[in-house]
Amino acid sequence: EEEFKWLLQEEVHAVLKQLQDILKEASQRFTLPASGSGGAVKQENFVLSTSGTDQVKGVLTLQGDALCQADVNLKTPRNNQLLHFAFREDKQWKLQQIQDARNHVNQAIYLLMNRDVNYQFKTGSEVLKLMDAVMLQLSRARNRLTTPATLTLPEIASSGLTKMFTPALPPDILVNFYINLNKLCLTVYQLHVLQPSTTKNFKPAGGSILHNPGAMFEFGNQRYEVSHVHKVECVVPWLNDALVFFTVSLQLCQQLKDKISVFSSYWNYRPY
Amino acid sequence: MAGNSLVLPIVLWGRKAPTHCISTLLLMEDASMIVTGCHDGQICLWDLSLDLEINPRALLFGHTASITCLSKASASNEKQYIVSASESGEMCLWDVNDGRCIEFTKLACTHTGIQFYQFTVGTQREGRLLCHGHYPEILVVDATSLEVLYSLLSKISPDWISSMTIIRSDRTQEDTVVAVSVTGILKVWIITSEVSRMQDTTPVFEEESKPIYCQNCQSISFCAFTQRSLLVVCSKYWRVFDAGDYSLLCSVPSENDQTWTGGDFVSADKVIVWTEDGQSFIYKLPASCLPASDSFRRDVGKAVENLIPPLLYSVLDRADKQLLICPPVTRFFCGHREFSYKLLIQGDSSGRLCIWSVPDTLEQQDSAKGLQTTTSVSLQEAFDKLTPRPAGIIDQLSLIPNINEPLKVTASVYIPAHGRLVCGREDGSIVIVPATQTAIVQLLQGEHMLRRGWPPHRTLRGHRNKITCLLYPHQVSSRYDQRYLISGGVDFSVIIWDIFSGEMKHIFCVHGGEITQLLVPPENCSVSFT
Repeated sequence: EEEFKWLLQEEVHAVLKQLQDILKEASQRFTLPASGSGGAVKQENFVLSTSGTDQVKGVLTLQGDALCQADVNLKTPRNNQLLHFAFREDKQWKLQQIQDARNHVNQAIYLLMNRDVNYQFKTGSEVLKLMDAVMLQLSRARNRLTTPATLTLPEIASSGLTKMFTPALPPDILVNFYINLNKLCLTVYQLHVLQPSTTKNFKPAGGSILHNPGAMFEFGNQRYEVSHVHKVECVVPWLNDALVFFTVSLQLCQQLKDKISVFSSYWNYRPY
Repeated sequence: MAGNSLVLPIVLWGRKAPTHCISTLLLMEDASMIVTGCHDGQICLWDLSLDLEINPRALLFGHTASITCLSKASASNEKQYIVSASESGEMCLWDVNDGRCIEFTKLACTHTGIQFYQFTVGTQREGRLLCHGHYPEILVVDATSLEVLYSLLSKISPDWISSMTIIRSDRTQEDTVVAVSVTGILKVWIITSEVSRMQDTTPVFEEESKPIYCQNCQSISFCAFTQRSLLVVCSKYWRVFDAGDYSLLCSVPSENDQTWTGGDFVSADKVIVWTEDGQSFIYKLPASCLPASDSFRRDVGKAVENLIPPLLYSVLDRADKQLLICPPVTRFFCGHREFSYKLLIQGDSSGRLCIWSVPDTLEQQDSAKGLQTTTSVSLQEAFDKLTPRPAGIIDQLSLIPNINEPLKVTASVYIPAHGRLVCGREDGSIVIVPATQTAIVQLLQGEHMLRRGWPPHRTLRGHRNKITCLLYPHQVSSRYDQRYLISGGVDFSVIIWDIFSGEMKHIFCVHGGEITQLLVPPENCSVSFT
């Protein structure tokens, strides 16, 4: 009984404080242009490449949650022609995954801030409820980074991304950017048009993070098949940090929940 | 319970009301019904009589996660439809008259707010739901099919929308959506009938985007009385804005570390704001916030923090200081039934609803006294009032002499093949009863109720403490013998029973802890268990 009181009054707040510190640290990684200092968020350059071939090379500039510059070099395998595209000066591409993750973390911090040292927890279930809410936000934040959206090829083809480049993307090339865990990824699809007379069985591909060569789709009354897929990626160090912070915080939450559950189960199961 | 083609689920509640930790609530426009959503995903319908008596009528099951928002989904009074959304992205359309779920959809993203709006398409009025949530747009959803039609996009710093309101102004004849993003930027979209005709041709961008520096915005509401001002409630302050050019009229910080969770206009010159711990305060707005006054907008552009906070009018105290496990939900509704009503409704974690009727003529009161609750009822109280009391499935077998509370059933499994229901109880015994007969005993009253030991049942004793789980493996896979029933308990043991003879076949005590779950391994799994 005494020990439980101590747990509620002292230990819970110690853990909450620790959680807040970790999450604030995590939130700082998702530097926000609007927060406090007001200064522009610094830009970071990432070089995306694969070790084996150098068919696709990309230099991406990330500013907070937006890609503000992108340079993509593509060597076409057919005629070894070198293609180069970049973002138009006035365009940015927002990585929704980063913004979502940041918002989830901020919501978790908000939940914790409302229960600061002055707040007195009276029941264990109160703490459990709070932990559940915080953990839901944290696991959402983590899931947003670890699971990129699954898109169908027509969705990629019709997304605003294709219109952002200068010179404009040739019609047989599709690009897609996303975050996978701690990595910034770029996929380039090379397509060829399926003639209506073709003997191939047309089967449109469903949604996927990464489509394989041979995937088919229909877009603008034209049938296409993916002939080549190039995927390049680059580790973003601060995303890695953020993911580690999420995991540590989730563990802390779970430990606190366990500590409280021990007491409640002990009281419930008293022999008759 | 199980016919050949039709399966009719029957729920027997028992004497204890189910937990109903209210997460959101809604008053139907004709004030005849309150709808509450809870953290477990159920929706409760409460009938509201003319003299404000509340009576729970039905629980709707349809969501698998916490309900995040509720909204009406039909305009006419002949159809009473509501829409509900849950934490996991589910959306349900309900007919609240008979409790039917009419439509269901699931999106990948969570909605946190929904507003109903009628667009004029040609000569017809089409119902639309405007949704916002964990995504940077406002989705426009068809109110009958729940299909996403198009979205309202942001050009400038798009971010999640934390709250939104629809402004219908008689002066401009133009309806607008005003929303505040999580980064504190106010955004305005004009929704006229053109918008709905433009479907998926061109994106709809915001008309205006203005930073108003409102962090942690909780609610935004439009003054229906003057149609000239907006109330924005943030966790640590509330602000009044001009609804025409969105300039700040006044800002009031919270006192004593209170956290605001929402607010609304009570009349042209009064606002009601409520806190996270369930208290509400009515403030009289200063003259600079009142369009009727000469000094309206006098303070625009001045240092607003220096404004004298408007007078504290009266305090609405929570009915009882019962412990709550999470913050209560408060909403203010005003409208007309047979009379015009202004009701403040609060729902809390114990399944209790409180209603305060806010009088039109609020005079300065003794702030210690405050406005008294008009009505208050909890789900448990409503259960206790019923006679006969709601039945539990094996209540008649669970009574222990000298103790009021029946023995709790802690685990159960239904075996349709034999029509048997197996219940594990907190004292470690297992009761096997014929399911239909038991249901008859509970639901239909008659002389058999008095018969002792009815319905025929068999009690298995072996566990020394609470049963936590039961499994009838033959139901999952036919490779298991029909006779076997497996039980696990908090006494660290697993027991295999023969359900026909009632014999204990085996007892396994090798576990180092309480048994929490029993599972059948998949068909192609090489590990076998007996």
